[in-house]
Amino acid sequence: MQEAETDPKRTKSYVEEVFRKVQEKPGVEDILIMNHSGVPVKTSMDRQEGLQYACLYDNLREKCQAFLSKMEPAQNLTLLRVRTKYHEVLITPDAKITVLVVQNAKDTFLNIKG
Amino acid sequence: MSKIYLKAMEDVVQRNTDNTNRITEQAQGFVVSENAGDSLLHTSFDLTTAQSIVKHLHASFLKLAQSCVRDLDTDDKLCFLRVKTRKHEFLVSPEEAFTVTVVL
Repeated sequence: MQEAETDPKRTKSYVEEVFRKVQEKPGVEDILIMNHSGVPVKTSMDRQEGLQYACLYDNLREKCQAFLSKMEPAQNLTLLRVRTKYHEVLITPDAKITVLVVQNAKDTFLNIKG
Repeated sequence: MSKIYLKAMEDVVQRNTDNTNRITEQAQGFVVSENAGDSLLHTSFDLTTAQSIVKHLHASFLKLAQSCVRDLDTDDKLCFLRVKTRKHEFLVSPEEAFTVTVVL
């Protein structure tokens, strides 16, 4: 993605472009793009599921950023990767949007077949 | 209870000395904490840094992540967590009784 600017443009076409490029990647199950308030802007999930993911994972991202800000020196979150039994969720915060991707984990952790 | 963990911890450290040395060659350090009381068990950092990681990362953020995963799907379970910043990366592995964090 683009290098962050002072006041970067995150237009609708930008969001569409991000969505399309991520969708081309193999192993991607779901995509969710949120604005800075944690409201879903574009998603491949159904409405209810998208809202649930957005609410829970955006809260997680905020807490993570708060924790990193307390460090000395303060750090900015660039990627949060949550590996569960069945999926792997990657959260990439940007200046104004947050991209959440649910993908099939490629390794054989616990030998679970997705 | 903590004495049992300490004893088990010493055994594990003894058996995994080679792994520990290999990890610390490439990483800045590691922290191992006990899940029950969120107490520090073993670390290569100084005490202040390790306590800070246990307090913020193990006691707060990890439990939030676990509840987040469980809320979405009750069958699902958090296996591994990676928090990447520009300078560091925290690799958190929650096990049954211990939580291991490696800082790259």
